[in-house]
Amino acid sequence: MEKKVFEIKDVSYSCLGKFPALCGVNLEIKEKEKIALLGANGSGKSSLILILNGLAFPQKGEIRFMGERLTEESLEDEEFNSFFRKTVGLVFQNSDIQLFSSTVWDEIAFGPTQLGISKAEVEERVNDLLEMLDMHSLKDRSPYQLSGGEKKKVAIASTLAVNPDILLLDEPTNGLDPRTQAFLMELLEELHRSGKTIITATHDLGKVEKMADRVIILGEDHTIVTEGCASEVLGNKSLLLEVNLIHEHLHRHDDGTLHSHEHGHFSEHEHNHNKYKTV
Amino acid sequence: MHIPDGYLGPQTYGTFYAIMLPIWFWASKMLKKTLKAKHAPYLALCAAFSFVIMMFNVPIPGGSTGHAVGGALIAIIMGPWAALMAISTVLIIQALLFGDGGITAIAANCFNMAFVMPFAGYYIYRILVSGSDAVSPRRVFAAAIAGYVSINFAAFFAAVELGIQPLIAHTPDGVPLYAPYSLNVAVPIMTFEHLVFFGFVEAVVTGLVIAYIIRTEPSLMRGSTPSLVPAIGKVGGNWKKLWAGIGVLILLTPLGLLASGTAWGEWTSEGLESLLNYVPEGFKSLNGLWSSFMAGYNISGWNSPFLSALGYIFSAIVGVGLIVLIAFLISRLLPAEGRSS
Amino acid sequence: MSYRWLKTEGGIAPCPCCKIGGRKIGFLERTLVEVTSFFRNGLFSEEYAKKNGILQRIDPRVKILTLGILLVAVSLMRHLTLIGGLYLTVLFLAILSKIDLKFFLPRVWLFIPLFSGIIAIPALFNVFVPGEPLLTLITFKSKWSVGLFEIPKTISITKQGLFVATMFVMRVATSVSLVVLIVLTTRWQYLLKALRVLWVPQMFTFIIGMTCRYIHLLLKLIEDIHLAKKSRVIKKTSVVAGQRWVTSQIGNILKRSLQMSEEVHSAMLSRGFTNDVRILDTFRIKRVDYVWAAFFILFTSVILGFNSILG
Repeated sequence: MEKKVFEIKDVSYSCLGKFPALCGVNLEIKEKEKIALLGANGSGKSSLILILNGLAFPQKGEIRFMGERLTEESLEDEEFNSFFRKTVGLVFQNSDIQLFSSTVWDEIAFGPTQLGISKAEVEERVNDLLEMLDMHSLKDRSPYQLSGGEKKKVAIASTLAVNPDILLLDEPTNGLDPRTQAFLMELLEELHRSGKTIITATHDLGKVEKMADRVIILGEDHTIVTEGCASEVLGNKSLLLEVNLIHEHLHRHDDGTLHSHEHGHFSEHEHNHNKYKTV
Repeated sequence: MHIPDGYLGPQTYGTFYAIMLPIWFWASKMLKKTLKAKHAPYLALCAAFSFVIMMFNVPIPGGSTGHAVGGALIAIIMGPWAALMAISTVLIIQALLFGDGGITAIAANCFNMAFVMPFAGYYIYRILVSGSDAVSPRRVFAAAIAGYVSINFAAFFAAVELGIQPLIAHTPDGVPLYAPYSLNVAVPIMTFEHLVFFGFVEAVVTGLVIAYIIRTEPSLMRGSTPSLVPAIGKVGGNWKKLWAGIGVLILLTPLGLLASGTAWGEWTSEGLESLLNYVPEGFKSLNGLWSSFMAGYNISGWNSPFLSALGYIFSAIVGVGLIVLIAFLISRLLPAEGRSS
Repeated sequence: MSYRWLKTEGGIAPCPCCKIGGRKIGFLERTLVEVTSFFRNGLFSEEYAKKNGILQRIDPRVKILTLGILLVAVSLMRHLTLIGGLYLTVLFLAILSKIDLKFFLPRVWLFIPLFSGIIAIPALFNVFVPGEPLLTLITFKSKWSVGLFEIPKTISITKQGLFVATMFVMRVATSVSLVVLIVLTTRWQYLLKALRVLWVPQMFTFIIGMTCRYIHLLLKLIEDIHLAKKSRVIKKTSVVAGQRWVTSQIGNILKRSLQMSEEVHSAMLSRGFTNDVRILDTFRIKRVDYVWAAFFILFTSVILGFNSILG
């Protein structure tokens, strides 16, 4: 039996104390799991990710990390803070927020340097990551000289430089071209094989099966609606419809028949229109 | 108002480094303490914002445009200490990357635009709004006045710094080595353009941005990050702090002059005395006009260096008094809704 | 899509007023284009920093320290010949650093006439700097005054005035050239890290770097807002409406900046940032740095010596 890394008990959280984001959420996350957090916009995925990264704290309920309570106070303890930050890494949804340093090199070196890792080790890690992501030519560039896909890669590299055992990703595939998306999925798969716990928040149904063994769905009422293995949850069309992850699509074909089917908001469209047109 | 390299002699810019270093040190220590880890991104974003403000040209009747410095605006929203550090950062970037303002003159420029301006603007604003509701319209007018007065303060200091150059640094035959125009030219020209033009740009920007913030994000006006703003609360403490601040500024006015006399030891008191009387022929009448109410920043007959320094201080007191009086009168004439709340 | 007004019926109607080309480029557009290109050029011109010239080979910390001292030396000079000599030295260094003088000279001298040159011109005349006349331009019947301003009987360029103006312009030009030389031959990120040698705290250089990074983001934001506005503008705005629009944009950007600072704070915490920042540098002092420093100390002492001997 794997160790529990996160235990979330009856957590409620509201942004700015006004807008509810999570209501009475219970969740356990074990070591080496591969989890997807699914939910429509505003369902509280990002808030949950922030809470898991110790950047937001629930107003009600509690969160434990390796059995230790995760609070603003407990993170003020230097040793615990350093341990937690070394163990849990987050790739933010908005790369512009995450890339605050002057150059790509400095950006990747930032995390390990703050955590007191030796200069030689930091230099080695940065160079290895640049190699792995094929970004050596970008090392002296400033973040504003990068494309969206490159920014995301640097953001991931800057998180990996800390070598976290638990990797949180908030909407990692958003706005990326298909090639970068495919690259990212492969990278996550590889990281998982190397023993990392991976938690991804997304609303991209098409990628979920690759991203996760276990799927957790947050509803628009900010509670966990269901959780289970990926194929099981994705098969439940009425549930997905209910939480607004797919919508009913009504359209008229060239032959005049009215046709109705469900699909997710992004990629997976279950039938091909051209097939009808050529009939 | 960005003074380039070569305009100020070493005795002047050195003095300003000596003034600014403890101020910067104190400010960053304080911000680190109150804001903790947040101070780095906060200052960087505030600085980026103040850089960007200077990019916005505001239309002025008559078809021309001008840009604001934003010292008062930033101080009102973020508190004067954060404004000090943010604007200093911008001035350093401008000096290094664009040659806008000199490297040697960084401390002097920071003194004028990052210290005098936000602090003057902030405290004038606090006085004018004291007791009013966080979103009352009086805040808009108070902000506009703070913008107008603060940029004139800053311009006045810049003009004095430039104007004392011919007095304290010149060749043996009295020819200036640095900025060539003395106080009676530099001060009227600098203050005039700020009184009639840039002051209004600053007032429009400060007032209207505050109006926009009140309309759309009133929580900012109530100080969503209260730790940034020194606790002022009561009107009494408010006034005391203001007068203390202005008092220090007034005492600083003749500093460049005094420092040059002692630190560099080049001038005997007779030499300085004769320098202070060095007035270009053509400007005698203009000088006469200024001496009527500002004494050309040097009350006639007070010719020893010590007394002339006192003369500067006295002139500054009169100037500040006039400005405060006018601002105060204007604020009384404005609608005061919400003052009771 | 069922709103009454949200339909296009009968094709696109001809413009009832059409007068194309009547609108001038707006105030915001002009500044924005200037600033964006200025800012980009300011940071992107690392072309010279990558060349293999003498100053590029010197450790940035040594370079900043030595050329910084030279900048102070320029401000101490009391003789035109010495300033001239320093100016030529700077030009020589620029050539040794493989900087194209066709680029370097305009970059410095285009800035000078704009500000200092114009400021220096009046100082030539006896109106401002009295002295021995060199060239008398106008002689009036008597002294006269325009309002408060009194004009002397003869207006002439004086020897002292010429000295003041030349000295002033040369000093500004030499200082500006030195700063431009430092900035051109050093990559921006090394320049920032090297500021430590002047006792600038690491935290402060980190904040400066971060500021530049987010200036770009804010400029991008303005560009987007501006494009959105441009595609929607219907008629020429009045001064008051223009002021209102500009200031509401400033207010908007202010809100975004504050919000962003919260988010960036989270991102920094997430990677282990606490209260103080640690930044790595990869600087190494080499033999060329010692040689340069030794040469520099000698040169500066000689120049300062001359300055004090000449009095």
